[in-house]
Amino acid sequence: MNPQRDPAALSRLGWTIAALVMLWPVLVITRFELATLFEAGNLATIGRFLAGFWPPETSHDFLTLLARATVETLAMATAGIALAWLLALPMAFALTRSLSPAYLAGRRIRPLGAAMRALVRALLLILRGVPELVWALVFVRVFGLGPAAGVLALGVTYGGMLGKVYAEILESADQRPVRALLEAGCGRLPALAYGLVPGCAQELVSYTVYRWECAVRASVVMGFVGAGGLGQLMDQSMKMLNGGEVATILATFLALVLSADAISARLRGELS
Amino acid sequence: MAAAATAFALHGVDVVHRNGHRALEGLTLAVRHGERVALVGPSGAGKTTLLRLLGLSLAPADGRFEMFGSDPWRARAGELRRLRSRIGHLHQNPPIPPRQRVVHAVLAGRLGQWPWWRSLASLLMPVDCQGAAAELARLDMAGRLFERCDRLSGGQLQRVALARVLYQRPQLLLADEPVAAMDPALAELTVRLLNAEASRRGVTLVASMHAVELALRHFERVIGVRGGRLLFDLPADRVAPGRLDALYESDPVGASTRPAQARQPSPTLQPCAVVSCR
Amino acid sequence: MSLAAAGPPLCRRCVASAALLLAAVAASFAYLELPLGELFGGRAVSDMARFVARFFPPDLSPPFLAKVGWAALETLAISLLGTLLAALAGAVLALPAAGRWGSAARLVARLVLNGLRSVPELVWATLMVLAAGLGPFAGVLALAAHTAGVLGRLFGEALENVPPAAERSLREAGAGSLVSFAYATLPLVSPQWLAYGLYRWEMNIRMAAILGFVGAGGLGTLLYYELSLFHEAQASTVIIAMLLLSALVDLASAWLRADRPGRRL
Repeated sequence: MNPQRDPAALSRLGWTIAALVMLWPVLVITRFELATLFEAGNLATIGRFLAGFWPPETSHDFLTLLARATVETLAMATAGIALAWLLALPMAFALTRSLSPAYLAGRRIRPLGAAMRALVRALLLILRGVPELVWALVFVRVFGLGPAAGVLALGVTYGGMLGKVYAEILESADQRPVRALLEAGCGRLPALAYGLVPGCAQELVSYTVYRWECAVRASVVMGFVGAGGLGQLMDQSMKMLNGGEVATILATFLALVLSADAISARLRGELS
Repeated sequence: MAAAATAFALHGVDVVHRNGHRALEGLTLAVRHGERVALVGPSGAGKTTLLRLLGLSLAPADGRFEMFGSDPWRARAGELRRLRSRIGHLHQNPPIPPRQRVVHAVLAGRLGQWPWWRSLASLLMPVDCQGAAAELARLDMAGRLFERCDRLSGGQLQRVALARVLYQRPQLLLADEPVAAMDPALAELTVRLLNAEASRRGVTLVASMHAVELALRHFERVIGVRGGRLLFDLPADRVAPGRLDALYESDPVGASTRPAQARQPSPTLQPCAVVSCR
Repeated sequence: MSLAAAGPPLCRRCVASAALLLAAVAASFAYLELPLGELFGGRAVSDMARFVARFFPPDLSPPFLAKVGWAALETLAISLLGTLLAALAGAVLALPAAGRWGSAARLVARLVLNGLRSVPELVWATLMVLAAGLGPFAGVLALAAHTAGVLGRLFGEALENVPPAAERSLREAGAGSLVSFAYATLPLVSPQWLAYGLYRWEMNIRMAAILGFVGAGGLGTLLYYELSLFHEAQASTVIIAMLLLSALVDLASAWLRADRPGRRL
């Protein structure tokens, strides 16, 4: 063997060629054609649209509409998280093994309990596995256009997330207080409230606040599928190619998301 | 001294750091091609500053400075780069990314001489494996060409750095404390290797050394620097112990005004004691 | 402060914040005028059950499955290409954002990155549909725009944390700035850059599945179309495909992370 031949050269060449060969179908599938960006028609449309960005729309009527949509977005996020919390609580309670007297006694958990936990786990997986926007789209079909679908979608998806994370937090907490309470004959619910929650309340609240921040981001775009809030306003303005309105809405978007970031960071900082 | 044979010359050179500290004052010095020079002196004496000046990383505040017969700071950017590519650096800690393979680490020596496209192509397909392998073979590292640098020991990595700088084929080789982090046996070996390779290729060598004894044993010419000034400039066999005592004499007032450096004083004290025992 | 004094005010604060929270939630529900009775009443439950029942069984006929498979492939392709383009743009923007070309360039680059990052993907998608027409190409551009902002910031932070000695030593030996970067700094940051890129790709696969709601290709387009025609059986197949894709991504990323202990993230 020639000692001066790079041993990695062949495999490197192979990988490079493989990557290029893989890239080709990707470009074809995505119909990647930079030329379409510069087609006269597209260029003119987007140019006119972008030119309309300045000045942003500041008429009184529009600003009232915008303020109402902004409050609606925030309310959607808050109501959605409240709903998610209500949904997550019983499921986290059911999932937390350390609250089971059988587990406590070192016996195997009864098949019924095990089956129920598996069911709850599967339910949580489906709830959070489907993106909130898909839920929103489905709920819009049931409840019609408006914020109700958005709130429900947020509640369902974030309920799944909160339930899973709550259970994880509760299981990783110090188990001694709750064990002592259960051994003393305390019921499961009081044991949860007095034995487990105080130890990890901070973590639970902090995660909930973080999810609220995520919910604000999510509810901003909910409107694209007709579930109310700023997104719906944006969708309408986009469809009418009204650049000025879109500019104002975009600015509001950014302000809302950034302030939700700041509030959440502040709250979580105060907690820790 | 014939001008053609001069590698570099300093005449009354001052170097002032950005914080206003005058690191070198009125330095006058000329070194011929192929000379092997050791810089000695206490911490904060200005050895590193002098090496950075010679490496064209620092410009002199005052005085005349000539490198390979031209003033580098009057040259255009391209010319300055060409001058720099003729100067090799050896560092105390080899500045080689751990995940890089030895072959690229060595070939990196000639990046200043290659056009950019050749340099980048070499990353995909090493362009001169033979050249890199030859340098490594001279340093007993023949089989390591395609290994990753994080698989090497510290001494081996230092030899890769040496192979890189030799592969560069510099006319001037600067080494800043090349062996300060090594155990005595390895330090001895490395300094001997460095000097042997430099004299074999006729490369001018300037190295700052903490271990004075090593410097006296292996270099032709020893320059003592203290407080930014030249204290002596003598052939190695004519450096008297008294000179070294004066060079390293503790000077609490002077020491406190100099910027503190994060170095251990022991390597300077130890050879000092050895020398004064003789 | 004595313990006795510290107790009650804290509790008062607890009660106050709890009341504030409750008020906020109540106000939210009130403002939205949610038809709570309609949503949770007995008739709603039976309505809902009937609606859910329409989703079963999912349409598993081969032609439709082929269609869903193609849409899933399109989703993967959108996310891959979008992330690749974003990584390229992010790398280019990260150099000035890490302050390598002076402080003015740094400020401008950070501004651009922040702008790209703060606009959500879906909003980018609506804009890109205007610029590039309906279809997956708009999805690619939308993902690329948002992700470039995210990756550019992360890449820049990684660059700032790299020790400069390696690159400086090459510059001192006369190498150009691009070449020194490729030989010295790139090998130092590349593991981190790769980890960030893979992590964002994972998120983008999920995102690409819903970009279609605004016409940017992939599974989302199919779902939107089927639901608007009230084809619940078909929609349920698409939703299952989304779930499967998401689960696959989870598995793959867990496997990748377990396989390489050196790769942290």
